[in-house]
Amino acid sequence: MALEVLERRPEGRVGREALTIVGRKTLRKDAVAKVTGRELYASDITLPNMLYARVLKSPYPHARVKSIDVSKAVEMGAVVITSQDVPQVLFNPRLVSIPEATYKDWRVLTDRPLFVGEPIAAVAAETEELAQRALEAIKVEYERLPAVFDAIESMKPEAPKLHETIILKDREVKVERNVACRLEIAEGDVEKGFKEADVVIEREFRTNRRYHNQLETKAVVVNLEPGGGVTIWCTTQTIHNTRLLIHEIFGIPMNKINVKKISLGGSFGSSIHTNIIVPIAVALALKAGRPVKLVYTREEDMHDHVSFQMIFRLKLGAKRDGRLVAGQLQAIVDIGAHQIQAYPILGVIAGWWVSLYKLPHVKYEGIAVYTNKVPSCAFRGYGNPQTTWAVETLIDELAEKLGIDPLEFRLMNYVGEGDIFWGQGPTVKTVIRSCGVEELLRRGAELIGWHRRPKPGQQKGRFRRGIGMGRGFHTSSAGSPVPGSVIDYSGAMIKINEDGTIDYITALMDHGGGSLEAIAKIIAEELGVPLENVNIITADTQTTVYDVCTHASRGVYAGGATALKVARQVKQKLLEMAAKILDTYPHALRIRPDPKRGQGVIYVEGIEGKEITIGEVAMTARHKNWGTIAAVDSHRTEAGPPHFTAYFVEVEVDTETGIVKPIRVVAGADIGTVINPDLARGQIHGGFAMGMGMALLEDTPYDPDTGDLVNRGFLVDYKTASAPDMPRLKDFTVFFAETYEPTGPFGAKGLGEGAFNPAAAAIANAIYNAIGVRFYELPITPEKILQALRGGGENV
Amino acid sequence: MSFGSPWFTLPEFTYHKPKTLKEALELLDKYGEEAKVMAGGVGLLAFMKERLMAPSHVIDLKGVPELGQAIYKEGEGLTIGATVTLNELARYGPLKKFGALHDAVRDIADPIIRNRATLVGNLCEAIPWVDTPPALIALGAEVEIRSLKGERRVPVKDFIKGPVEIDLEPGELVTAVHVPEPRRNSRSRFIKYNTGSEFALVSVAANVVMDGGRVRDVSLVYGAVSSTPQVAVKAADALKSAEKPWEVLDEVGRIASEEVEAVSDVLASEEYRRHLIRVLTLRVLREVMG
Ligand SMILES: Cc1cc2nc3c(=O)[nH]c(=O)nc-3n(C[C@H](O)[C@H](O)[C@H](O)COP(=O)(O)OP(=O)(O)OC[C@H]3O[C@@H](n4cnc5c(N)ncnc54)[C@H](O)[C@@H]3O)c2cc1C
Repeated sequence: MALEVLERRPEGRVGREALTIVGRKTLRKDAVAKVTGRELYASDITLPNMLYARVLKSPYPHARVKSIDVSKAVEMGAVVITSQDVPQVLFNPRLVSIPEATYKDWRVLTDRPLFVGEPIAAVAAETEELAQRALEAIKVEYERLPAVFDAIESMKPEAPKLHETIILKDREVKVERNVACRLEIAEGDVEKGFKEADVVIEREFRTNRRYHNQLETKAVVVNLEPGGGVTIWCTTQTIHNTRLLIHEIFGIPMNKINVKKISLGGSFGSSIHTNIIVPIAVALALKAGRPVKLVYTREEDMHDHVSFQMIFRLKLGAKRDGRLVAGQLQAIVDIGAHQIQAYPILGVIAGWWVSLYKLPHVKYEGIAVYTNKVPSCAFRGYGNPQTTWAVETLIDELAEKLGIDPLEFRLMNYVGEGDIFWGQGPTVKTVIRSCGVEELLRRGAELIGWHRRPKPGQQKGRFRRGIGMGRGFHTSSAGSPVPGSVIDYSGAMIKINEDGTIDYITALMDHGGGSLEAIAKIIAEELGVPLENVNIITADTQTTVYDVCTHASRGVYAGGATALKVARQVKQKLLEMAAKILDTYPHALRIRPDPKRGQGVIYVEGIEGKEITIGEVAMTARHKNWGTIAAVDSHRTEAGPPHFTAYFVEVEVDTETGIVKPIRVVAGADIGTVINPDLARGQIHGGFAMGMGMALLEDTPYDPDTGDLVNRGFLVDYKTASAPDMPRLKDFTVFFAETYEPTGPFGAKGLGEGAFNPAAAAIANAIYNAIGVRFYELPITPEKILQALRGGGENV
Repeated sequence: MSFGSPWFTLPEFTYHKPKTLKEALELLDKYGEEAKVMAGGVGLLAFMKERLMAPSHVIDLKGVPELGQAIYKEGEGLTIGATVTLNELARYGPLKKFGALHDAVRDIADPIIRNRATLVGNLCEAIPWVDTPPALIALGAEVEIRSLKGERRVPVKDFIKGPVEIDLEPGELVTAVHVPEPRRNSRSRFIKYNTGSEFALVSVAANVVMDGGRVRDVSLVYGAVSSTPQVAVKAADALKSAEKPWEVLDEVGRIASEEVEAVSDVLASEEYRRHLIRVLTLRVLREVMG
C-alpha cells in the first residue's frame, strides 16, 4: 500500500529519486530480542550490592500524618525515608512546558496525603520481601480529613481545601476553591455569532477516567557514582527531563546525573512526566549509599496515574446552509490531587476544539480542578479523544437537525489545507500544508457503505446494526515557527564506522511502537545504506544532546526530521571525502545501497570505475587522519502539522443484553509518507481497541466511603477491550491518504495519537445510528443501553 | 496495615508436600484449622496475599498421585480427582458427555490459569463468581470428602454454604468430585455472560431431560448473581408442568429472574443481573431443548 502510494505521488513533490527503504515492510530491529525475552527493561537491571525498595502509601484520600514511627523497620535492617528526609521543594514532575506554564504542588514524600496511594515513606532492604515487611512495620498515625471526589463538588465553598498555596515559576499562588489553574480564550464575538445562527445545540458531556494499562508497570533503578553522581534507569518517555527534574529536586550538578535509555514496555503518556518513584528511589539510594531498585505492582501502578476526566459544556451554532458560525466550550477538568502540567491541558483542549471545525466566533473557558483522586496525566491524545467525542457527537446532531448528511456537513466545515492549526494550544500555531481529510471521508464512506446505513432508531428485533463515523487529528510534535509555551526540539548524533555501518545516537525514546525503527529507515534512505547497517545505539543523557520527549506524536516527525538534518550533514562530509578519493566533486556523487556488498556505494553516474563503498571512504579517512565522519545537532521543526484520521464503524447492539460489538471498521489515516506500513497499521488497530475501551468499557470510579478506587487497583475489575472483542481482521480495513507533508522527513507526519482520537466518537455515533439514542456520558455500558431502550429511546 | 501491602507478601507458613493421601490426611488431622490444602494455588495464594486467609500450614496436594486422575466409567459417570487441572479436564475426551461442565471448564480465565487451576480448587474456593459450581449442581454432582475418620459424600448443592464457605470440617479434604452419568434424553449447557473481564456477571447452567415434547425434568442454576449458586425451583416447576414447554420459555425466564437472589456490585446492578437472568434462561433453554 505505502509503496503504491509513493509511486503514485505527483512528480516533483518528492524532489528526489524514488524512495528505496522508507515505506518498505521490514523486520523490526528489536523483534528478535523482544520475542526471545532478551530485551532489557528497567526492572531487569540488577546491580551488585543493590537494595530493593517499597513505598508506604496513604490508605486515606485526605489526611494529615500526625506521627510516624519507623523504629521497627530500622531494627529490621531497612533504610527508611519519610518527608523529613527529602528536599523540601515543591515541583511539577512534568517539564515539557516553559516555567511560566508549570504550576508546582508535588513533594517527593508528603505528610499531608491527598489521595489513596500518595507516597508517605519508603524503605530499602536486602530483599523485596524484607522491604515489604519493614514497610508493614512502620506505624503511622493519621488524622483523617474530609475528601472530595467530584470536580463540580470540589469547587463549592464548603468543599475541603486540598492545597493552600502552590508555586508558579518562582512565585506563590493562592488556590481558591480547589481550582488548580484556569484559561480563557475568545475570538470574534460569540454572542453575535449565536444570534446569526439558525440552529444552536448545547449539551453537557462527561468523560471517563481511564487507566493507561501500559504493559510495563513503573520501575526505577538508581546507582551511585563516585564523586556524588547518580545513574538512573527508569520507565520514562524523556531521559533528559528526568535528569532536569532530579537536578531541580536534589541539586545534584546536571553533568553528574546520568539517565540511561532503556526499552519501555508501553506508556501512552504515563511517563511523559517523571514518575514519582524516581525521586523516591534517588532519595533512598542517597541515604543508603547503595544502589536501589523500585518496581511497582499493577495495583500500585493503577494508583499512580490516570487520564484527565472532563466535563464539557459545548454549544455550537450553524446557519441553515450548513456553515458553522459560533461555538462556546467550557471544560471542567478533574485533575486529581496534583498537577502534572494541568495548565497545558487547558490550552490543548481549546486547540483541539478550534482545529476540528472552522468557527468564526469562539469562546472558551477551561478550569482545572483538584479532587482527592489519583493525579491525572497525559494519556494518548492528551485531551483530544475527549474533545473529539463531544464535538463529533454534537456535529452529528447538528447535521441531523439541519437535514444535511453528517459527512457533507463535516466536509463543509473542517479545518484543512491553508487554515491555521493550533497544534498544542493557543501558543503553538501552524499553517496546514498537507491535508487528506476529503480523501479519508470520501473513500472511508465508500468502503463502509455509508450511504446505505439505516435511519436511526427505526430498527426492530434483537440485534440492531448501525454505522457511525468520527473524524479527527492530532498534532505531529509541538513544533511551530515561533517559540510557544511548549518546548519542542530533538537531537541526534550520527557517525559512520570504518566498515560503513552507521551509529544513530539519540535521547529520543521508543515506547515500543517503533519510532526509532522508522527513523533508522529515514537515515538509511538518506545515506543510501541497507537498513541493517543503521544501528540504534543505547544511549544516556551524558552522551546525547537534549531531546524533549517522545510524546505529541512527534517521534517520527520531529525526531525523524532531526535525524534527517544530521544525516545530511554527515552525507556532506562523506561526499567531500569521497570526492577527494575519486577525484570528482561532492555534488556530482550519488549513493545507493548495495545489498550484495552490504554497504552503501558512492558513485558517479555513467562513469565506470568511479565508485567506492562508504566503508572504504571511512577507512581511508582514518588512515589519512581526516577524522570521523560524524555530526551532531539539535533541530526544531518549523511546524507541528496535524495528521488526520477518520473512523467508520459498524456496530451491532444486542438489545437483550445491551452489549455493543463493533463488527466492521474502516479506518483512514493521512500521515503523509508512510514510513513503516505494518507498524502504522498496528497503531490504528491498537488505537481502535483503546477507543473501544473509552467508548464502552473503561472507568475508575471511587468508593466514597473508603476513598479508594472501587476496583482497588485490580486489573480483573478494570475492563479493557481485548483481542476477542475486536472485529475480525478481515473486517478491519486500514487505508492511508496520498499526501506529502513538506515540513516532514520524506513527507512524513505523526500517527500515534490520531490513530486513537476519533475512535470513541465513531463508536458512539454508530450506536446512535443503530438504536436512535445518544449518550453524553462515557463509558456507554450495556446497562446504560438497556436503560435507554427501556426509557423509550430518550437521549442520556 | 499499610495500603498496598496486602497485595504483596504472603503471611508466614510452613509448606508440606505429602506423597500419599494417608500422609496428607495425617497432616490435616494434626494441624486442623491451622492448615489449608493447596491444589493449583491460584485462589489460595491470592487469598493469602490479601490476608483473607492466613494458614500456618499449607498442604500441597500435587505430590499425591491418586488424586491426579479423571476417570469416566460408562453408566457410572465421571470422577475428577482433586489435582486434575482445568486444562487436563478440558482435554479429556469423555468430558463432552457432560455438556454444561464442558462449557464451563473451557471458558475459565485463560490457558495459563487453566494449566494450573484445578476443578476441585475452583469448587472449594467457593467465590460467588466461579464457573464450575453451577454446572456441577445442574449435573447433580457430588463431592467426595475424606478424613482419617472416614469418607462421606455431599451433593455440590449442599457443599457450598456461603461465599468462601464450604461444608468441610477441620481434618477433612475433598478427594474428588463425582458427576453421575447423564440421564437418557438429557442435555446440559452452561452460558457465561461477561464483558471485558474474565469473571461472569451472570452465568447459567441448565440440564433438561426431555420426554417427547415435554420436559420431564430440569435443573436451572445461576452463578455470579449472589453469594452462592442459585437454583431456580419455581421456574423449573413451571417448565415441567407445561404441556407445551416451548411456549412458556418467556414466563420461565421471568420466574427465574424474580425467584433467585441477586445483588449489585462493581460489575453490575441487581436490576441488570435480573434482566440478564431472564435473557440467559431463554438462551440456555433454547439450546438444551432444541
Ligand atoms: C486472573 C484470574 C481469572 C480467573 N478467571 C476465572 C473464571 O473466568 N472463571 C472461574 O471460574 N474462575 C476464575 N478464576 C479463579 C480460578 O479459576 C480459581 O482460583 C481456581 O480454579 C482455583 O483452583 P486452584 O486449583 O488453584 O485452587 P487453590 O487455590 O489451590 O485452592 C482454592 C481453595 O480451595 C481449597 N481447596 C483446594 N483443593 C481442595 C481440596 N482438595 N479439598 C479441600 N479444599 C481444597 C483451598 O484450600 C483454597 O481455599 C480466575 C482467577 C484468576 C487469578
